[in-house]
Amino acid sequence: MRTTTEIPNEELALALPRKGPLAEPPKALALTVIERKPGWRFVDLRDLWRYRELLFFMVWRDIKVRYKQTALGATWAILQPLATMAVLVMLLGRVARVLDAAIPYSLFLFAGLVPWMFFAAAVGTAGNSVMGNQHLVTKIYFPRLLMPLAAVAAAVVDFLIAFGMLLLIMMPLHGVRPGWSLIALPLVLLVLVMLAVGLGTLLAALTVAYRDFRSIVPLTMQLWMFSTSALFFQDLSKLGPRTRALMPLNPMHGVIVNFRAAVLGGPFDLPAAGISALCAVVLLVIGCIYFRRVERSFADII
Amino acid sequence: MRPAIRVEHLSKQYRIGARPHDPNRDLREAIEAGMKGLWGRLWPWARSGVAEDAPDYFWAVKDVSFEVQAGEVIGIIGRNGAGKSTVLKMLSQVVEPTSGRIEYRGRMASLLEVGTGFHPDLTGRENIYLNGSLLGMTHREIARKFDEIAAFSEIERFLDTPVKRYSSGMYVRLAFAVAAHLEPEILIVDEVLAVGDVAFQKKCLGKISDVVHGGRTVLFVSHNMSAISGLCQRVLLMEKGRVTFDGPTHAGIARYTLSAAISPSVDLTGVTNRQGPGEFGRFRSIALFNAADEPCDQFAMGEALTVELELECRQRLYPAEVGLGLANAFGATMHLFVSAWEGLELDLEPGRHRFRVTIPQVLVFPGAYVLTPFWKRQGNRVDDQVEAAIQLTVVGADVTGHNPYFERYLQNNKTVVYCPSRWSHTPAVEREPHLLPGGSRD
Repeated sequence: MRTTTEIPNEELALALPRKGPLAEPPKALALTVIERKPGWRFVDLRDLWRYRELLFFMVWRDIKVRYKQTALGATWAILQPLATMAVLVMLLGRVARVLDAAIPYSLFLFAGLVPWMFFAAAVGTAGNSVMGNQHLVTKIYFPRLLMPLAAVAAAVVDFLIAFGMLLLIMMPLHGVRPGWSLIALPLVLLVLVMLAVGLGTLLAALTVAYRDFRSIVPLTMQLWMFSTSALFFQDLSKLGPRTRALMPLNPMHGVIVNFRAAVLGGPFDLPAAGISALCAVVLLVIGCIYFRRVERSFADII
Repeated sequence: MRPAIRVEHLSKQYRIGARPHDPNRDLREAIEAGMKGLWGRLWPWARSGVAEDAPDYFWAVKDVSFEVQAGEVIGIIGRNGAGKSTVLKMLSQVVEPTSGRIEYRGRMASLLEVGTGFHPDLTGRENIYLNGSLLGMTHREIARKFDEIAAFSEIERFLDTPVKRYSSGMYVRLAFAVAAHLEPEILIVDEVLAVGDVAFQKKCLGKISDVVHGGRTVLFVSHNMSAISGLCQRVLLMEKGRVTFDGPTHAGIARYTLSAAISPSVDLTGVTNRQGPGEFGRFRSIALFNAADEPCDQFAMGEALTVELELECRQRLYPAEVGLGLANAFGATMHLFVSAWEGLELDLEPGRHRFRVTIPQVLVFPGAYVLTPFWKRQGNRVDDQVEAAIQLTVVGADVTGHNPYFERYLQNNKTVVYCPSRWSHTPAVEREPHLLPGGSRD
């Protein structure tokens, strides 16, 4: 409840003479022009760069808030893939594993779950990022893209923790050492992040206009996870030929398979990688363009 | 010199009703609407049933243009819903204009709300960084000013507790402490002073006035007329999305208070707290009007005030006189206006009588006043009198043409009436050294 207090006149002794306009000639100040600009426009990279510190603060805020008042803190980043792995081993172990494989099933699962959990978390939080920050959207200016980007960046931090666990604990535990294939990892991660940013940005913009997406997205991610057979089946030849032909169309298939190949060693699937990369670029472009188109009316419709 | 801010024909239109992006519309409805639109386009004769709601629109801001020079302090005043905040939002790039153009030079910081971005789970210290960053300060800047900010907020001890545990006063102090240390070329402040206690408001105003004296440009929206008149030389009055006045502060405020009136008239029939026996009659109502004969209860100094009184006369009274007393908020009578003094002869028959008295120029100092109508037979005791029947407010105005700013003289003067006076000045003449008294030269 706001109460307005009238200051009695005698309290305001502002009888000091006002200085005139700036006496010295102004130094060259940046000119900003604000106008309605209909139509499509791409990402303003300079603006994003200018607000890079804010991006850092938003990520820092999201992470801090997530783990404040929790007892386990950052270990949650590790517990989630670990727990899912344990459940899946129990459920699918008999059906999906390959006995006496070079890579034990639990490690196989974990290595696939780490990038997947990142993707699911990134897309989920990015989708809600604008809605979650609505109090900022109506009050202050900053490049709106910062919101889904910050959400994805926060998920990256969790990913790094889980990845560290994979590389430094899980792999030595099972006697698997990373090899030269690790060189391909940055490329795979790039595709993964592009997919997350593209889809997250698109969903962030859509969720503002249509609140349905808040429920649709978690459900879809669950279904998507179960349809990405690469996560569960160590020997893909067990699946029917039609399934195997359609699998690569799922952009996450290429990412998961190649991520595992890069980290654990094993055959790369280049065609699938190509499809994933293409999907990533397309999604990124579409997501950013759509977001930019809709962002100017965020403050009006949120 | 090039203006710091230039706004040209700025407008913002909002659609109400069937909006294309109605957040309550779900996907199903959107798809349906899309299909309907398509169907309608393909088979226009098949359009049946309820026609689409014609989208109602209203202009929150219409054709606003103004210029602000560097170093000026402008106040924007107006009633709620006049469009002030929308203009600020467009200036801050939070909302996109429907048409028009804004240009400004330098960094702009806007305080549309105090405590933007504060997260309740984070501590005060963390929120200082977060809020500062949102407002445009770099990490280094915040670190450099951290101690100043903490000191200004007066809550250094509590900086390490989560903000959700703060009282509202502490919250506002912290939020304003961060905002007060911004160093932009242009500062936009939107009614943020409405929260906080008087001492804190004074402190904030002091800080804003420091910013102002530093030569920065400030756009200040407030309902607090004292703050506006204390800080701004120039004021923009907005009414229903348009700028209806752009000029000196006291005139703008006067115009605003005149337009913000509600019908000020009081029904006196039920009033029991009155003096006098009422043998011959009683007052029924009292109403106030301004120079344009509109109901008004706020007047600027120098303006005309008309009071309309309705009197129910029960017995014939001759010679009668009707009077009006004007007293200030402390009970001191400033004026007495009596019909008989101005030559009005009254022979009142029973029935309802209406009296109008016009005071050509209200010259009492700014403040709140009350009117006390009374009537009597000339020379006798008062027959009916209603103390403080109606209230009115007087606002300072430029009565003399020389910017007298009467408000500044109110400190110890509560019962003052302005009266014109004539002044002259003869500079001191330097005595010629060779002329001694007596006239002899030396």
